[in-house]
Amino acid sequence: MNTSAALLLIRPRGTPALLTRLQLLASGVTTLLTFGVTMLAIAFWNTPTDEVGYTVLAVSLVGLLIVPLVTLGSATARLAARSRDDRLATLRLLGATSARVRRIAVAEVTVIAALGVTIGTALSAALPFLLSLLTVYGKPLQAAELWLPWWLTAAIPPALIAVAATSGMLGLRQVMLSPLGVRTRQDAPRLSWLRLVAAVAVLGIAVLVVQTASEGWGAVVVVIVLAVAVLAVMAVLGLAGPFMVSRAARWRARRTSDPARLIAARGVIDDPRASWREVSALALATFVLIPAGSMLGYLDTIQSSASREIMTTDQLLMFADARTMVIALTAVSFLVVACQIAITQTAAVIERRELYVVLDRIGMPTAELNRSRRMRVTMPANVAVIGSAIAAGALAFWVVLMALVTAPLFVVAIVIVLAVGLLLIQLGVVSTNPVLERVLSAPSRGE
Amino acid sequence: MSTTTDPEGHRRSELSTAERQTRDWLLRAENVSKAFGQTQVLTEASLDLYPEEAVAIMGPSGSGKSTLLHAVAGIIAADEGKVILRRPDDGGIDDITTLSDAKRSAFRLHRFGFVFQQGMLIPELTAVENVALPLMLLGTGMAAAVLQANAELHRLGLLGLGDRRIGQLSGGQAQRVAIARALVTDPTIIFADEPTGSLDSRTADEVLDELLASNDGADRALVIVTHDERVAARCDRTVRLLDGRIEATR
Ligand SMILES: Nc1ncnc2c1ncn2[C@@H]1O[C@H](COP(=O)(O)OP(=O)(O)OP(=O)(O)O)[C@@H](O)[C@H]1O
Ligand SMILES: [Mg+2]
Repeated sequence: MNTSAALLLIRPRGTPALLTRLQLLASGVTTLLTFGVTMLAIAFWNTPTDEVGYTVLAVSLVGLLIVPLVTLGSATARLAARSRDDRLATLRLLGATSARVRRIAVAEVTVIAALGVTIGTALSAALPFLLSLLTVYGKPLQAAELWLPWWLTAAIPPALIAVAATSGMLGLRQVMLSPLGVRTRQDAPRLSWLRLVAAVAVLGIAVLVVQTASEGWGAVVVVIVLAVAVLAVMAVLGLAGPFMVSRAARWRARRTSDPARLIAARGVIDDPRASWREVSALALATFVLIPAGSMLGYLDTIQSSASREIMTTDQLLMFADARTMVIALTAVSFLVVACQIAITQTAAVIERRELYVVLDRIGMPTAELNRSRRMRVTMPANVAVIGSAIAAGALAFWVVLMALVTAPLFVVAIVIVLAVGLLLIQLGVVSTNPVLERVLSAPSRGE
Repeated sequence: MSTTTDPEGHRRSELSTAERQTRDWLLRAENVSKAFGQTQVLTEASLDLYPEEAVAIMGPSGSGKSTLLHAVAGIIAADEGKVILRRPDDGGIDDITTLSDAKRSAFRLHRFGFVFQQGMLIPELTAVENVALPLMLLGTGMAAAVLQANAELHRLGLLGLGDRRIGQLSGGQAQRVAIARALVTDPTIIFADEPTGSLDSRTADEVLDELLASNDGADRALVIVTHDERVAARCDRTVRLLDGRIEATR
């Protein structure tokens, strides 16, 4: 079979073309945000002060946002590759070798990602001017200082494209391994409760370490110990998350007479890891927001009280900047999550179009179908927010308690922000309602 | 109503087509037309369905069989013509072609049952939950719906398979679960689009038996789209489509 015939088959039409556009959008957004985060981090890093807080801010900004950004880029590429599975199967039937099919599909996903990254990089030229609206260390940022060194500018795009290509390859492997996908899967995976035990143990140790850490250890040691404790808890959240999500869904499935909820819960039970992955950025944001927001509330109280003399000017400036960063961090995380959900849900509707078509035919109202899709995401999202709120509350118990006493309004604000985050997630799903409508309006064609 | 056994050992109703058609029709489709873009797929197709009858729809691939079924069942909106149904309680008449999408959807849930070629069951749910689903959509509680679904599975000889996932069923079993799902709401019409198309001939016979038996003594009609003359021969009459027109009715 010649290459042009292969390309003809693999070029997406109809709804998958929508996914291509989304992949383009996602890789563009990822690129733009990656550049923005890097610029901001460097600005924090270069602040002319000895206050270590700025270094911490810079490092945590990169650390906390790179993860969701890379997830977004890779999730999209993975789905884009997977959504081609029908055509890939056809190509295989027509006699193309599987290596060849894979090469073609990965090449396509990579080309789309490269296109998105290029557009994002071009647009990022405007970022220094936008970011100069922000104030860091009491002074507005200077656009001229925000330009990244040339080697970094040159390194970011290829790195992002490589992430997309690798993820596309991984996504394809899933298809190749089980060409029949869901239909061959017989039983829902049972996740071991050891996941939860391990997570609780790590959380317990982390809480203990954080409580016993004292200034006598030296500032550097304390910062490192705290960082390790936080990272360890973040890591085990990913371990406990799928287990909790699956448990919550099982509990829901057992006691419901609501078909929309039953289908949603069963979907989560069938693939708790994927369900968790979809909302893990939200878990991360919650985990950071609770102690950071409480700390800011507490400091805000000190700042506006008589005891503000205990803080240096540098520290006061830094707290203002930390607030900016927490807001930026939260906003970007939520945006990334909503974006990612819109994309995964688009792919989910396309992948599971037969299911939706049959439910529609037997008379399930479209509104109910959409409600079911929404619940499939909000169920794990609620678990993510509540679970990481508990973990964060345990780890930063005293800070949160202090904030509750001294700055209850800040705590209220945190709760509102989290509620907004959950709402944004629902909006992410709702934004894909037209995709379902399209699938249902031409059921026999499936496109 | 009595039933007899025909020479091949299949249960059939004693009523002849003529006798049956003296009774009131259940559903009447009049001059239904449908085009997709520029292509006229269905042209002025008319079809009456009477209680207890099984109607086969045959015709070459692409002749519009599925489209006819979808239009009559309110899955797609016809461009022209009407499809009317008699209400069982007060004998009143509903025209489904004038209904909104949402209303047609409710209509399908209340009045129709569907069986498709590949079963089209929900892979996340167990067999019994698949059967219980339409009842739950109608507002029956989970426990009652499961009870009723189990009874239906029992009737179709599937007791003990209720807790299996769809992936753990054979093609014939899955198709019987689909029949149970179609029957559980006691619908007025059952629409089946090549229900035996992907089964071996013996399993196909068994599944067809179940479908035909579901009609006996019930105020219900069965419509089967098929490519198989043997299936058509076991129905009460056959509607033949050619290029979107009904050519002949036996
Ligand atoms: N959603 C659609 N959009 C455009 N054309 C369609 C659509 N659905 C069906 N068609 C066209 O309408 C014609 C009739 O299709 P239909 O599915 O009713 O045929 P069929 O008789 O059921 O064929 P088969 O025996 O192969 O199932 C075909 O030419 C088909 O390509
Ligand atoms: Mg057909």
